[in-house]
Amino acid sequence: MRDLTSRLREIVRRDGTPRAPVDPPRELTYVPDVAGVTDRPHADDNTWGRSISGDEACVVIDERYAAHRSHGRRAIDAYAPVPDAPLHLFDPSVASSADWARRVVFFDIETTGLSGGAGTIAFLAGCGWFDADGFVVRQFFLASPSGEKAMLAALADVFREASLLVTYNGRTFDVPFMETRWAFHRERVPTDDVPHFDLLPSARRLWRRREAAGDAGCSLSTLEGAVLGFHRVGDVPGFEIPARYFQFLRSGDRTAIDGVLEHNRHDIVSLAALMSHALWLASEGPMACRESSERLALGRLYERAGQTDAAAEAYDLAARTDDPSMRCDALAHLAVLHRRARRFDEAAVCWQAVLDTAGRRRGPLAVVAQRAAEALAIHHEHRSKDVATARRYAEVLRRSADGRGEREAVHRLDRLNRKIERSTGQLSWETGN
Amino acid sequence: MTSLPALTANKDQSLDAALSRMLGEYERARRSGAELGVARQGVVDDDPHIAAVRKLEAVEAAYAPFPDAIDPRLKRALHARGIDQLYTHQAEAIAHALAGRNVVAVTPTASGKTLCYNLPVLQRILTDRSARALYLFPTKALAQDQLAELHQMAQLVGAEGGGEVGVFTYDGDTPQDARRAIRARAHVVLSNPDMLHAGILPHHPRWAKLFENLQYVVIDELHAYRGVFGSHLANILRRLHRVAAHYGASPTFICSSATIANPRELAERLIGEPVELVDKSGAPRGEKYFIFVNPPVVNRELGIRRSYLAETRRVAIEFLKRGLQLIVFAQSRLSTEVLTTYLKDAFQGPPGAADVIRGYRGGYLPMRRREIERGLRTGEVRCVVSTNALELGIDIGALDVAVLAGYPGTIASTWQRAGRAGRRSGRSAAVLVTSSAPIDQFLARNPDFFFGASPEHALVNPDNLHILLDHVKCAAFELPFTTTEMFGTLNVQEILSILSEEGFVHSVDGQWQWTHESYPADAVSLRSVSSDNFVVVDTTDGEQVIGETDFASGPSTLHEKAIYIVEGRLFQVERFDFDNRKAFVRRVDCDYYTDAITYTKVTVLDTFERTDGLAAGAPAPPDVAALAAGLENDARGEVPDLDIPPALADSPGVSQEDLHSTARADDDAGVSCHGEVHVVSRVVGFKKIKFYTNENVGSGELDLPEQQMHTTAYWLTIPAHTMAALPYDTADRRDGVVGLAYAMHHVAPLLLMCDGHDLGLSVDGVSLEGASRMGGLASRASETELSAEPSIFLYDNYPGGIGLSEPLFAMHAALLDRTRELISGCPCESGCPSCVGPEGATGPLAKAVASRLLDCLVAARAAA
Repeated sequence: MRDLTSRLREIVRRDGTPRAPVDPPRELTYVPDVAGVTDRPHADDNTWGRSISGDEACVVIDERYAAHRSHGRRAIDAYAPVPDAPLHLFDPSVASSADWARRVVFFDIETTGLSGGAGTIAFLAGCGWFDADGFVVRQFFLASPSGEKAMLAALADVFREASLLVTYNGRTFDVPFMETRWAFHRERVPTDDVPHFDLLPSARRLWRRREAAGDAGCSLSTLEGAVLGFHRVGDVPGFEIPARYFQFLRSGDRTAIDGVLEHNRHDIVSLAALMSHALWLASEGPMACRESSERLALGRLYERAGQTDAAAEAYDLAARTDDPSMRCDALAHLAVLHRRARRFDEAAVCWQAVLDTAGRRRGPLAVVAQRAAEALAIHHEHRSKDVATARRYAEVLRRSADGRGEREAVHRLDRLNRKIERSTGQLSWETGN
Repeated sequence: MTSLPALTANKDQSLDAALSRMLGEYERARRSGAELGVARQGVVDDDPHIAAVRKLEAVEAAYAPFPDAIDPRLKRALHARGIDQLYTHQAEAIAHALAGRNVVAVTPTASGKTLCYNLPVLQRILTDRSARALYLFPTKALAQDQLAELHQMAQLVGAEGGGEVGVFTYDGDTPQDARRAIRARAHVVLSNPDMLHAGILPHHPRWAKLFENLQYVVIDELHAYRGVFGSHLANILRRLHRVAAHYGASPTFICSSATIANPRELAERLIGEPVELVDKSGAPRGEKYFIFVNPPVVNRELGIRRSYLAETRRVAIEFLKRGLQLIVFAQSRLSTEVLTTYLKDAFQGPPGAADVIRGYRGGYLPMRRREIERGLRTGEVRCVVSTNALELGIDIGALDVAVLAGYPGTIASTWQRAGRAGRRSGRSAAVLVTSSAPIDQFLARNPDFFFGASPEHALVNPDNLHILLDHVKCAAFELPFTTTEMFGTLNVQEILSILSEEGFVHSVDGQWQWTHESYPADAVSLRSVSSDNFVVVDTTDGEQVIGETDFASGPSTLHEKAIYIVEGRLFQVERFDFDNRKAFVRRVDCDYYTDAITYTKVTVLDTFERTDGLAAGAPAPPDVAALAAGLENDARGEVPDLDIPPALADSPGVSQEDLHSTARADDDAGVSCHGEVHVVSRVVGFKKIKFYTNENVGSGELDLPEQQMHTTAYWLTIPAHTMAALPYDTADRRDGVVGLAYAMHHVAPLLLMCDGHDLGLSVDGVSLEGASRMGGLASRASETELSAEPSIFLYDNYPGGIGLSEPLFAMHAALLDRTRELISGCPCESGCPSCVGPEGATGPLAKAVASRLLDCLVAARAAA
């Protein structure tokens, strides 16, 4: 009989997914962008913080950010929630309560995997909120997975105090993930009782089309640099995080984890700052924006909320850009606003400007140019009753459209031709086709 | 070409007419045989055309009242469906289920098995609105089929004031956005083992409501879970028990099974708990004829028979032209299409008429399948030609006749297919048309083996190390194991510490915490031996994937220059990219196909048992030994012949490395063993074989990588002096051993309940052609030397073994006896595909030598 252990080992090694190599933890050199790193004394750092599970399986680490300390271009206290900030522009459902700003809890978790199955846990849950002296980040860390129940109970306490929960992509990830953990332990799910604002969709609206968006898009760490001017140094990349935790569990070596704790704190502070910045832009209006993409986005926010004058102003400002695609979009939105307000001539001016800008370009611009040509053909046929001009635009449209658009253009041309024939009172064989 | 008559109004009369015509031939042949004085006890001549006729008498229904506990609302709902009493087996099963006892009900087709589980489940939901049930079906189609029925029942119950009962399927086809609602609202979830394994158990917190209130788990078509699939299911159910216990639930299992030899044992091994057996059906059954038709020999020397597909066509037409409705079962997708074409050609309907003759197989779109099933129920479809896809309980109504083209491979499956014809009253018929495969010919000559024998045992080996390890990983992902926890009845702590070494888990605070980023269920596929496969890309016109092949058979079917066949269309492999698991093919038009030559070498690693009862090597601690080999010592069937001459009793232990000293075979009866082996196989070449004539029209050599596996095997070692005493030269002796191996390889699946593919064959030192293929034509030995003491290995064709070797070892005596019957009963002169392999391939004296060898082995056993 061959040794069972060696056989098992052989099968596991052959069949198993190769273990992701765990790099030795890099030395973390955190270089602050402006001011001091942290107010927490690091020197006598033999304890994690408070243990809340009796056996140090779950520990709490508090970090205080003083009001005057800077994060990016502003100081911490500039980011504190303001009750009359226009949160309703981004998400009317969570802003319905008048006291949403009372205790806004910013929430972010680090997990042992992304699958969300029962075998993945959130080993670190970070919560942040403002108080009279600045900003506090309270992290619940599982020094042992057996402390999860204690962590969940403590988190439930934090959520009970909260007037609003703010996450980044929490609607799809953090909150459902945590809900399965409460369900796992057969506990009541506390997140059902707190309004939840996921900043990600709003951030996408505001900053997806910013200049130099690049591939990184709208990740929190990208936006904190691009929008807030905060730059991390030596940050732990997200994909490394589970492996670092596993390494910590096996070795007890905290150096692997320190960087993860730092990463999570940055995420939470930046989340608070980014939300504040978004609200600030929305309340200040397009003049406060640094880019026309932001102005365009504000215009759409205002328009959605029914603030048409503010929207028109934002579109108008956004249209004053050299970027033809941004300009056309802004003008198209403005034109629609004008038309709805029955300012047909102004709308026509906007569409004409779109056509002038888009010219004979291809791609997305060709689409908006078609819309413009169609709108102008309609305008001149039905409003200004200038059938000849209408026909000119209809011909532009027929040349550029294809498929159904082309068929519609042909119909329109036919109709316009018939009108011209009727008005000239004679048959015209040339224009019949 | 005639047109098809309408469905007859008098089915019994038409059936009688068709049968008496078929049997008339039988009678005439029997009488003429009697006149010639050659008739022997019901055997017409050496090779009767009608090999057997059995009449199965009608059975009256046996009824029982509803159990008292049944809710009046439920009774009224059943009444609305015309059900006012139960069959006895239903009442019995329901009583067990309501009392919270696990139960397996063995139920013939159309005996109302669904009521056995639907009734207790609905009853429980009526008394406790929070109660939940999980139904498992082996296929998605069966779940859909049952959904309709259960849904209707639930609505009737709802209409009787029972409130809304949520019934939903949950499988790979369930839209993502519907899943959350199903988790919240379903009282009954209809799913399959794959979904439970990869979609439900790993996400159990989302299903907390289901697991907290899980009262019943229904396992339909239990007999489908044998071999690898069953071994997986047993482990999935171990995981289900853990998860349910975590939520404080302990469900009762209700299983239904077709007739197999060991339904209770199978259920208990799968569930891991005691199970009550209900196997006396109270359902009525009409009279039924079962007939074996053996296509006549057209060339006695070569043992060539008339094509069994042509014979099937002839038989089917007899019934069709008398206005009967029938189902024809074919053995492969290809023969399904061929038979469908034959029968469509025979009956040309008027233009525009609905297709009354249909094919049915995996790969058809669900819409088309539903349409055919509906057509069968309404009678619009007169004949369906199907693969085993219609063998399981899809509702196609009661048909008049089932025609089986070729023996399905197991007794259970044969009865299951035959059961597709048969009404509760009135006559029906089943016809088995035997092919020239050895098993088929054995049955044609020994019909009593079929009619007399119990159906096969369904074997599973949940403790196969490979399967077990996969599921321990999944279980550890779902809930941390404690450092004292068992998995079922198995101690898995050692497995967990090895998983810990490899970083999958980590022991902390008395628990094995999952510490890996992977989602382990994704790496485990329940249906195939390996989740790895080869993709076939047609490059004739752009690039298009036209098929896939499992990993093990890739090299032998997709090597360069191989002919790959899809629905009768031929492709030639132009490039075989082993590393990237792809084969690039191009359409060709040719008149041959290819058959690979595989060289397989088996090395014995460890002998667990031998006919002298001494296991080689140091005895391992009992629990570890059981774990390693999956030896629960529950061998079934015949007890091994243990009459060992004293000389062997103290024979020395066997070296684990040296193949040829595996057994000191100084016992004339040969030494048979089972144990662990290392199998190395390599495709070394191929032959080109002409269609229809099966001429060998060319060959080629190949250089492909080796495939290796550790598995378990049964083997027979023939003593050197028995070999030496054979009055034949070396080449003929070798042919004889290969011929014997060929025949044994075909008989073994008959004794076990397994597919031919489940068993691999190797004769030491000999390359075999097409050996891995059941019914393969050739198994010619190449020009290699046979050892003085050759061994024939029949190994489990799955890494780690699926538990076939030990029972085969236990049935060693029966295996030799049956093989001897097969060879001596075969009317061919010197070997044919039905016994030792075709003469041209195996060698001119293979049959004689193999018979001689068997005589020696069996005689020696009898003498001892």
